[in-house]
Amino acid sequence: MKLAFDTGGTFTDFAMTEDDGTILLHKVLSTPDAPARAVLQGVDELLAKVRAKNVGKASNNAALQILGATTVVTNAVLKDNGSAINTSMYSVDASGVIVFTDVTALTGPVTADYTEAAAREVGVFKTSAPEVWVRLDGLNTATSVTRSGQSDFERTIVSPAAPFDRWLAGDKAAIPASAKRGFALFNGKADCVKCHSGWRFTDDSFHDIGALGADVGRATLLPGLESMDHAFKTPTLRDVARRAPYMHDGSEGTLEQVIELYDKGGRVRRPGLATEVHPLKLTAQDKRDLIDFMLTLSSPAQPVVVPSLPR
Amino acid sequence: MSSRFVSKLALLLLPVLIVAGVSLSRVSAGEKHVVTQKGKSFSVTELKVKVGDTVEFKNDDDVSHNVFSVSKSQPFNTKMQTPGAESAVTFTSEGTIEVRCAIHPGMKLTVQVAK
Repeated sequence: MKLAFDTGGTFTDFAMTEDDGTILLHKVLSTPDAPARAVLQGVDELLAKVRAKNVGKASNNAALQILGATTVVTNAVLKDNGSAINTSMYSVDASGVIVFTDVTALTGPVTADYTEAAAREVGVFKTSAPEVWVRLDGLNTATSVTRSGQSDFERTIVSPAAPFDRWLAGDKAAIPASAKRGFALFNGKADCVKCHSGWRFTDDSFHDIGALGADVGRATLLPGLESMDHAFKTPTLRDVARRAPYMHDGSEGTLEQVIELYDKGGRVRRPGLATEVHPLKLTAQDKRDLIDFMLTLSSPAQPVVVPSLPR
Repeated sequence: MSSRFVSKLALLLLPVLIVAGVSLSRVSAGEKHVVTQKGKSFSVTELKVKVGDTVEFKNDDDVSHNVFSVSKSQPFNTKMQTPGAESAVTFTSEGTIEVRCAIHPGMKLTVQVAK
């Protein structure tokens, strides 16, 4: 089954296609104070319609696919295996839990191991279909809507081709020799590529890299896993030279300081320190070369239009 | 019965007990399955096992992994696995176990444990 909804200013509209191609339409009044309420109500009512139609047939909620759209968040398409597409705000895990979340803020975990009361406290709701739980990080609080708006804005900031890309494309003069040496170090002795991989130079994963600060990071969501203590998501290195200060809390002021952190094998060595972080014994020249390489990831500056808030 | 006789009897029985123990553990051990981690992926995304089966999680990658599950029926945590490391998990009750890597949330595996 596929379900789509659109949260508008007045109505929240729903459309659902069943496996046999039947289309069901539905409409409820929007609830601007908590848009999630109308979404839940509509999902509940639509599923009730489906159940009424399919009495006696096996339930197939685990294969529910959702497409969501609102005026405050970016459209998203889901796969039923829970892997959200790139900028999706929604996902469905294999147990049928619909997770509304902003993957720019966090990715997973999802769990249905909540009592109903505890679930409502953290924004997880069970619909009238017992198999379908809905988690609404992105829609049920003003804070979350603000966060969604922020990520909508952030998605407009793009990083076009940088000198590094021109070099990759064959322009041998696009970057200096020091940057080429730096790229070799990046992939070799310094081994940054273990986590800063791919076009965006990130594995979208979580590591304790031995940065300073009291924030336990990912351990807030996954308590009891040593590797997640003080673990934060690997940031992209695109345009990295423009984004000082560094680390989740700005505790490293310059790229030079970041290199120092890695060269030491972390400022702090906690038990869950990523095994990829260890003393590198970089020379002064190595450090300069690595920074020269990072500078080649700066794309031509793009004008960013600061959005005006609705009145 | 003298204490000497008892100790002799124990010595005689010892090999029998050991053999019996080995064969008993073989009966209850269940099948072994191997799931490797390579390229920041599990070698399979779904796995069907029986209660008592063991899954060997092997890190064939060049980065560390941390396989775990917060499932109700069988939460587990292999802790940090450096490249080459192996960890075995025996599934003791039926259910659907969602397995993830804590470090790389894109790594997903569903283990269906049946009787």
